[in-house]
Amino acid sequence: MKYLNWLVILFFIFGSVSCADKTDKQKNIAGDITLDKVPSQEKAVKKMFFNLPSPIELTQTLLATESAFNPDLLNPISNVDKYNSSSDLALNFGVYGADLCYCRVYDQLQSSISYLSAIRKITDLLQIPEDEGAETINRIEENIENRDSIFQIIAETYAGANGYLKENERDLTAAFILIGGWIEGMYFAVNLMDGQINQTLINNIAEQKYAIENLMSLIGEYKENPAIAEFYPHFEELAAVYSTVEISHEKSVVVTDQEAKTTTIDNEMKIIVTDKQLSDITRLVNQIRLKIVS
Amino acid sequence: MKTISKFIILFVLLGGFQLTGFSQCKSFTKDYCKPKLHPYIYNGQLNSAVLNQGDVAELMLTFYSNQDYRIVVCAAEELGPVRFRLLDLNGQVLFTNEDHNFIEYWDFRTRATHQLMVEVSVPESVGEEKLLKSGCVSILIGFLDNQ
Repeated sequence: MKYLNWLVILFFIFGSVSCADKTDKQKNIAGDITLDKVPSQEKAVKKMFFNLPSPIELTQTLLATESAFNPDLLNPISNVDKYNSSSDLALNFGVYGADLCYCRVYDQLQSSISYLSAIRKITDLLQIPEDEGAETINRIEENIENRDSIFQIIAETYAGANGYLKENERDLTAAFILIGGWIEGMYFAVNLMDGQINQTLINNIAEQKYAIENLMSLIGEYKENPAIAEFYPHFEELAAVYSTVEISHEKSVVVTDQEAKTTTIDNEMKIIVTDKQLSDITRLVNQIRLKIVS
Repeated sequence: MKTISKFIILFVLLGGFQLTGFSQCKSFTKDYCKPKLHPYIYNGQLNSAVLNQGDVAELMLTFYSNQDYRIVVCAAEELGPVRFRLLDLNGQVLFTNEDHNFIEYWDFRTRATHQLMVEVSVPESVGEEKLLKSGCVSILIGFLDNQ
């Protein structure tokens, strides 16, 4: 009889996990966001993801601005010993990741190697196992001169850490890595803009309006957490400035070129951003970045 | 006391199985979905969840001007053909894999920067099945190094 009870209990567990009941449409899986939003097809959205641009994407857009490499923008490697809490470590994992991408995009090989050591140290301190982080970092060292491999490996390092942290219910730590990387990318952009009128760069900064919306959604559910509460009002202020930046699109048209086998989402975009808005964005990004790295 | 112990064991088991579910999802994504991104560079963000038949998941993401992207949506076989659509902020459908035999990926370039939504719908169960099937669904984004 005892065994029968346990069989019933086990059946219940398996049933509840792998064979969800039809009424269970709003169940929250592994700490992810559950929403009540009903989209056009009138089905409940069970899972909503918000992605931020990766440091690789952000630093690549900087190259298009033809701005020169500026080593003064990097967070010094020596700062790594200052970080103790998991939130500081994760934020600066993101910062150093963006620094590494920035160095690599501008072919600064020696600096890239130095930033690798900082990331490796933080990976250890965050207790991300070797097979999720450090092993891929070793591969970066072996492939340092191969640009494509480096980007692939950096992406894998991010993905490995992101996956490991989510798997271990450390979603906030995973989010901090993304936030650190995004802020560092923004920091490069706003400071490269300093003293010059570069429309490509200005547009790149204005286009981050979408990223800050995604970031606010990403951290919104954690705003009571002390680690995020420290930064939340600053991000809220940044989001408020961005909400006044105007971006409008014409109706999108999808164009397929059969010969070149490419598909393009084609439309014109209009951006209206004032000097005051740019200066507020610069001030706030510098403030947040300083708070993260110091 | 025995009852409390049973509940504790139940709780631990339940948590363990949920974690296992996510771990399996992570392995599924790594082994089965990520190779489909090649030669695009993975954006490094893991968007995967265990979904049931009839569930919908959405991903909000910015796609930058003059970049080449690949969206990969892959799902556990038992869920059947999963539909994915790309919509702009006005709800205009830019792509649906329903028109392309439920292909698992789509490559495109954006002329202007866009905030777009990838919407993934797992098909409803058919027939008189009382229990829903569930499985891992992953949405991965890759981009090309255009330099």
